[in-house]
Amino acid sequence: MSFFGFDTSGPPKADKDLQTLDFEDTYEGLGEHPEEEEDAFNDETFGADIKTGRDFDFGTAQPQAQHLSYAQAAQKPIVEDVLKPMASLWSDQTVPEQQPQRAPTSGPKVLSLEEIEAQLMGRPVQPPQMMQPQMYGQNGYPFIMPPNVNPQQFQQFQQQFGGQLPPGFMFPPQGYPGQPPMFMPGMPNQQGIPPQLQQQHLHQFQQAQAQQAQQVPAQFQVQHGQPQGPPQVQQVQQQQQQQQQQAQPVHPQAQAQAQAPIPAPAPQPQAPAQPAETQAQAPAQTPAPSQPQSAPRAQASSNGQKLPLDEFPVLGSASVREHPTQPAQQQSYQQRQYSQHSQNPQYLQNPQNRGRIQRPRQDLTPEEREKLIIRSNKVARITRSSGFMTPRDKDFVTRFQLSQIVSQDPFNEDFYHQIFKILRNPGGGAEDMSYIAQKYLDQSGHRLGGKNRRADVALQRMQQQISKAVTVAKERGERTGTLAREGALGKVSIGSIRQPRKQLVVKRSENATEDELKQLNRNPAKISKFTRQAQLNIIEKVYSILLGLETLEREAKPISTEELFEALHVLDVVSDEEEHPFISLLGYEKGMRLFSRCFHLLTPDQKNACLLCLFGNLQKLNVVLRGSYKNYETSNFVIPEAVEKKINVFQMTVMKTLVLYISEASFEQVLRFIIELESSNSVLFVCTSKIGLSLITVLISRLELIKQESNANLSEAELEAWSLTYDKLFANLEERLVLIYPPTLSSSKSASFKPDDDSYIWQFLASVALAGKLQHQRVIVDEVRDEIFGIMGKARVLSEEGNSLDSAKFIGNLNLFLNVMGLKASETDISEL
Amino acid sequence: MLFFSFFRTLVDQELKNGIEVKGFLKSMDQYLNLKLDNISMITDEVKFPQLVAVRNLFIRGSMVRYIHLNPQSISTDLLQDASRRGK
Amino acid sequence: MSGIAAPNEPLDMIRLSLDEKVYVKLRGAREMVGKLHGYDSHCNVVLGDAVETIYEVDDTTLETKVSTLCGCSKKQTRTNKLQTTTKKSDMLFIRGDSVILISTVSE
Repeated sequence: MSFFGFDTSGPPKADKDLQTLDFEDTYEGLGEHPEEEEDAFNDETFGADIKTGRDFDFGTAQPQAQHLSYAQAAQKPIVEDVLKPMASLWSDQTVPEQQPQRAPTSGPKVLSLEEIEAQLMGRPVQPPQMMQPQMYGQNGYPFIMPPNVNPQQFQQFQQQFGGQLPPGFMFPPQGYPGQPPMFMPGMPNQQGIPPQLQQQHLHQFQQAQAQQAQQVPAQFQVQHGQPQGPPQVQQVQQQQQQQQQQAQPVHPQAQAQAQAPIPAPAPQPQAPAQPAETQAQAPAQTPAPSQPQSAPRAQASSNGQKLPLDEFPVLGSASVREHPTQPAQQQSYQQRQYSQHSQNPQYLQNPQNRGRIQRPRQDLTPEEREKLIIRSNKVARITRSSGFMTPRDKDFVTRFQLSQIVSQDPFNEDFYHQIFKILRNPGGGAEDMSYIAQKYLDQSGHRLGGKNRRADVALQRMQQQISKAVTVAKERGERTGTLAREGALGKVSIGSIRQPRKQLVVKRSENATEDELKQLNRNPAKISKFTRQAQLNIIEKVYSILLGLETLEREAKPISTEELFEALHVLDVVSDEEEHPFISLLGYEKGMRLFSRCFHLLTPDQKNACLLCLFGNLQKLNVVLRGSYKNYETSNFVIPEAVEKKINVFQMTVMKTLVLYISEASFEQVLRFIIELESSNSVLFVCTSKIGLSLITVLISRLELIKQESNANLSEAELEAWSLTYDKLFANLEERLVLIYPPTLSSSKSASFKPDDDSYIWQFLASVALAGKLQHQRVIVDEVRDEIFGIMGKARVLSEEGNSLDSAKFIGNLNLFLNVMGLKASETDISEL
Repeated sequence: MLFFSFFRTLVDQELKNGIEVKGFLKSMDQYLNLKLDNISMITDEVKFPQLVAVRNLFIRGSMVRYIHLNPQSISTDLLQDASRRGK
Repeated sequence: MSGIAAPNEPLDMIRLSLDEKVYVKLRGAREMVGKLHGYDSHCNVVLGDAVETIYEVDDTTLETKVSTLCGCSKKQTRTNKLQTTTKKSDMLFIRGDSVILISTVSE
């Protein structure tokens, strides 16, 4: 067997393992042993004796009707038995209200098709209309109009509810001509079953109920008049009852009519579709005051009057007949819809709906109509579950969601995001609670959007609730002592970064802690200064303090930097071999960043102390120590990439801060820094590193700048001291000036290097020359003569290669130095300025 | 809540999860559940052919192993501070 | 601000490694080395310039050897190759579920 034309024989190799499965083997009989869980009432609903065959053509095949006429089938006692339990579902309330129907048990008289047709032509009665009230009582969906509800009944129903339709109320969308009937939740057995079956079942219902009703008239008399069930239902039922009394006289005929729409398969193919269509129309028709079709007809039929032939449903002519009445129906539907929706403000607010209500559909082009159908289909799909939640529900959900993300202190709880926002959008206005909450709402794309007032109300309420809850939790914590034992049990919350929820709580006695602390205090240096762990600990401690201070700063509160300064360990005194904690702190990239961040917070004295410490221990500074080319003799003096990176970070952070500070510092201060630097006896080593050289350059040039400022009234002593210091510095470098050129940069040794790289050297020489006297300058030029001519040669080669840009840069850097002495270099020679 | 806070800043971000999905981060919640939009690449197309046609998806946070991020859209300093604060 | 935490909280060990190179051992025979930029109490972690190493036993060699040398396959399976795959990422978030340990790396 082959589905879809595939070759089911499979690849030739695999057929040993593959078992060829036949459809018959796999599916045969599956339907006979259904094991679905919720089919307990299937028999009641559909009848027990319907076999599930393999022929699924519902349109033509009627398994049990093959031998019997429909009337016979309808009267089969088995079916009645099956249906009785169903009747019992509403027996207490609805069954008693069935008037004893005397006539219907007209015996097993089988009508021929001709007879049926003749009756149909003569007295048209629509059995479903008789049936529907019961359906209504039975299925208990009060807000969705069941099909074919009697108009009076619906009006009464409406009166009872007054104008107050529940917020979720939606009228079932109207079916359009030629459109398949829409599914209504309230009519469970209407659409799923082929129409013929429906008719049959309805008829069976009637019979069964009629029988039951006959058995319980006395009971009914007793029960009638007593309030049973909700009042609305009661009233509706009474209404229902009255109608049935009206309908009573014709009931025999009605019964006969019920049997009538048996499809004569060949000549009337459209017949099955007709009941369904009328039902689909029914919800729209029923409540309208002008009932072109069903109401008069029902009236007429109940009175046993004859109607003109074209006024009632003739089999097979359904569509033709319905068209003339369509506009009227729709107009009435629209009117009704409008009046009803006028009680439903949400509906009116929707412009689409408004348009739909106001525009009569008659003057639409086919395309427009099609569009309208599509749209209304869509609307129906959307509105099916609209109004499912009341505004209160929505409010609740909103509040619940927000309560999880909004906090009292957003800077604290949502630090990253808050700051990031400010960073990326500088100048973003007020950061009060509502502003932040607004952001949350915007972010979540909530439908209230935050612009709606409702959201604010909900938000305020929610915030109040949260703050209340927090205070309660805190108070309880304090009362029960959970908070007092912080660190043992943690906080009320699940845990913070430092205190995750603990599985095991080891309680340490207070004394033990004190002892430990004492031990720590006794030997602070040993623990805190040498290990990497300890250095990182210092950094993190400073960070903790800094973050606290920054919070205070943000809130514009006064800050005290004592603790911070202490944590920096600036004033610690260590021996020459030991690493200074403050200096080691600057050996980490995060320490560098930390320094530049907390430096501005410090007091002038503290800043000064920091710099003195730094210059006094410059040779120990990681970027100087590791950044000196002297470390890398074995690797051709190439500074490792990691160190280069650190140097870069240092320049970006610490250096920047220092230059900024020094450029404002007084002459005396800067002089002290240089003296401090010289006292460490490591000037030469410092000068072999980029950072060291740059720092010295900064100091010297600052001093020279102050000196050259005309309004600088420096005392003789100060100038004297500077001159002394300079001599000392120069003596350190004299005859070893070439050493400041790293071999990798030295023009005489290295073939290629980037032009920017040597600028710091020339800047240094320039500052030294600037501060020195003529004899100093002469010494300098003598010592670096080779380098100068090397650069000139290099520039010449570069420009010959066509790289005039780099060539010009080399020359420019060189001229930084030469210009100080009134000289100017070109690619070929040196001239006076 | 740190990473909730963190990821909130990363709207329009390329991500990958366990089966290496790449897309724009549309939204996420405190469980780090993710909603991705414009899934532009699924590496394991052979393994997961059912995902080829998917344009946007929701990922339960617990199923995520890694999320690759664009360094440009992250402030590492701030992230470190936030980690120190534990928020 | 809660200030300085007690130095012996477990997560403080991780805190010390912030902005430093760390080694992260992960479930599924994976390792990661990178600069620690962020973490939280779930051990969710953000690493910069991360290099991931995945260890896999080369199953293909196992199968061929088993099938060809059925009798003495024991020795052969033991000498199975351990395949490593490395992947790099500029910025990576690792969900805490898969983290086994976080340790510092000497540079």
